[in-house]
Amino acid sequence: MIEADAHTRSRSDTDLLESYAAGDQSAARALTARLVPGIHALAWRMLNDHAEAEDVTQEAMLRLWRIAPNWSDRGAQVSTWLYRVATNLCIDRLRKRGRNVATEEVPELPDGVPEVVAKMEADERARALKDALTDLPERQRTAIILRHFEDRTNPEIAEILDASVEAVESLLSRARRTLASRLAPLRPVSGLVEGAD
Amino acid sequence: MTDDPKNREDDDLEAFFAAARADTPPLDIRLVNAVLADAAEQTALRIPRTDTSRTRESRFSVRTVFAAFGGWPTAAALTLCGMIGFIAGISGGGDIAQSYYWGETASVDSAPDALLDFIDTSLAEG
Repeated sequence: MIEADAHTRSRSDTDLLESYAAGDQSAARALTARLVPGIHALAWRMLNDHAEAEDVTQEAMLRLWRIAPNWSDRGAQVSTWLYRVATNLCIDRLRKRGRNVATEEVPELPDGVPEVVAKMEADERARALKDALTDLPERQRTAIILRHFEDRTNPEIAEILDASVEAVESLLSRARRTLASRLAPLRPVSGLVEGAD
Repeated sequence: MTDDPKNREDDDLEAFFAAARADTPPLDIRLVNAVLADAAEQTALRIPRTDTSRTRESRFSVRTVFAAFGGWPTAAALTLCGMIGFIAGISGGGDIAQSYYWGETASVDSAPDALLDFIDTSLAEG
């Protein structure tokens, strides 16, 4: 999609952002290649909607471009700041939608699922988790997505969510419990039962 | 897998996460192009903004204020008045005021010819 040379790859996000602020468009391309896929994936997983995920990604990046000339005052990692902006934009949209949209029932699955191909099983697991995530409270959902999909550390998640690390650990723990209980009935159809009858 | 229910639960969840991680959303090239277009637009917007701010600053520069108060003609006139006052003070301006108060004819004969020449020159230069 966008190629970056070795020199660009070795530069930090902050360094690239400062170059962009000075008018270097190649730095903007490098930042886009580095940051957009993660932000887009986060928004897509949180909102479950391609168009909205793209809107959030573009808006978050636009805010980054605008803040670039004054970045030195921020004292934060560029990616953490951007995830925070994107998370807040997603939460705003979720609140506008209302919680009722998020509570989609898991459809009935046929009894005694016959032999299914691995791809179908994986797709089914992915869909089931996506549905279960949709039912989580916003902050739990955000914490789970950042931790398990975006590989963010707990301190980073704490910064993104403006919470303590302990609060993040609690959010993750509660979210995992909810997901486990929600997904438990789906295990037989998700290819995870060992030694089933 | 393990017999510990807690670990079993974690393993099960991890299988779901692994499946979901593989389900990566496709990134549309139009989104990337839109992001890059925004970046270029913001860069372009910053340059005129900088020029505008310079123009605004220049409106409040010393030169602007100086011009607003009349410029060089006013400055020359003020200097002249100051010098007249200074010389009049040195050469007994107090007597002039006092004589004017008592109805006597005031005289500025004491003003040096050089000063009068200077006044003529200044007025002529304007």
